[in-house]
Amino acid sequence: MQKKKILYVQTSGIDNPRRLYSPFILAQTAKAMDIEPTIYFLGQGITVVEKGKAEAIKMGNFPTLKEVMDATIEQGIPLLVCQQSMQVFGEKLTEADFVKGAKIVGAATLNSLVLDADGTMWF
Amino acid sequence: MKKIKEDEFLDCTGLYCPAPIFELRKKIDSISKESILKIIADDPAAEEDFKHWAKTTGNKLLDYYKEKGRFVFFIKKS
Repeated sequence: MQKKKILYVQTSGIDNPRRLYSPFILAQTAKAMDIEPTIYFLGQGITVVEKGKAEAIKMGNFPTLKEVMDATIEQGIPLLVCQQSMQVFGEKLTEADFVKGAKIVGAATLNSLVLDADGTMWF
Repeated sequence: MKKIKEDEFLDCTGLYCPAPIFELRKKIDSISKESILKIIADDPAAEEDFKHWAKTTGNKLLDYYKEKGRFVFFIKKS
């Protein structure tokens, strides 16, 4: 049986720490439910996967955002970064400015992933 | 109530969402098909989460009840 797919889209950035944990936690949980998760970082959301940024974020009893993100990457969950957002919001960031495991993709990929997913969640 | 005899046991006491689901996944992957797994959890979210986990993954929730403030689940691995 083909696995169901959920696409999580993160549009919030590190200036909004309360919105950052959910996609990682939900994606890891999806994996544990035999669902295929993908996380897409768009607009301000790309700051979450910029090297060195997630280390500074920690909420409540949770580990730092970096630890949660590392666990997500270790589980093989794809982290996709919007190429145009890198130019518009990120003052010409390159792939080297992002955490290892993040892949640079474009707008067509996001449109296609939305159509292909069984559900999407936006943060 | 029919008494269910478990083959495997998982204690999720003291763990909160999403940790019990991660532990359940690990445990289910480590046991053989058709095994009955008994799980104890005191996370209030576990009642709905375990029901949904079973529904989504196709494993069978045979029974569950609340006892002394903790949930007891019996899941059969498919």
